[in-house]
Amino acid sequence: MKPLNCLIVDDSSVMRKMVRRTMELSEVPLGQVHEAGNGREALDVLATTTVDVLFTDINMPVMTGPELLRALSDNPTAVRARVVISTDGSEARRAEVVGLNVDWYLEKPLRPEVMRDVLSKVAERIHG
Amino acid sequence: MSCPKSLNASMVEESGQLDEAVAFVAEEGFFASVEPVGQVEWEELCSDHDTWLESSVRFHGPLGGALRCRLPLALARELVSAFLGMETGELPPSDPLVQDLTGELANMVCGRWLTRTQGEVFDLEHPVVATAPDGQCPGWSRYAANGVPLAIELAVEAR
Repeated sequence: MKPLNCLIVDDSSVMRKMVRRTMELSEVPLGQVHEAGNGREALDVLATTTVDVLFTDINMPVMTGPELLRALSDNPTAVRARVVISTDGSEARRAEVVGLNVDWYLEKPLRPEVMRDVLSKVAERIHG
Repeated sequence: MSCPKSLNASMVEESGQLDEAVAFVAEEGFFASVEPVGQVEWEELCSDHDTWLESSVRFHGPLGGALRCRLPLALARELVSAFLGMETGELPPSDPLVQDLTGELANMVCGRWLTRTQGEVFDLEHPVVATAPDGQCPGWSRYAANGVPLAIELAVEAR
């Protein structure tokens, strides 16, 4: 199976490390794992590379998660799967990202088995 | 650090939800066991610690307010290690990571509480973290997290 290239977008460095750790625990082969502190930095990363899966927080300075996802709607090939990870699991917040091609909406704190499930499904989708 | 008004009557009814939010985040995020404690036990738990941190996150939306967490530095370090799955014998987590985690703790508890009690969209400000003088925080909800003191205050502006 081809390794998945990933991008983690969160303004909290400890949260990015935690997401990376749960990814490593998933046993799904990983390629390059990029990190960005907000949506603008994520767009900078995506200007030079494509990733298989994007994990983004919602509430970030400079550029929020929904703003990032909206910006990516013009470039559907830049990211093959989009995952929101947020402390806010309300239906109202989830409704805000409807129409932004979000594949999964996960709540913090993130359980390793949830990450394994998501990455496995992304890998299946991409590699069959 | 200024803070909004204390819990109003309708919010007091929801304080059980705060206990649930604290326990959920501690258990799911940090594999930590959390139990509410009374004054006597709290004083005993605090006596072992002289360096404290406090994080605060403000929220805005259909109601506004702030959630604050106060905990010993030792607990914050322990939570970082659990959160990141650090092995025994690894170097202790850096101060920036400890500060970041302390802020995220408030962020996650606040987010969980808002999600479960309000169900509407709120904006949470970036958490603010600072040192605190001690564990004296009258009126806060008090817990033992893995046997270490953890205090939480939820304050909302009148609806």
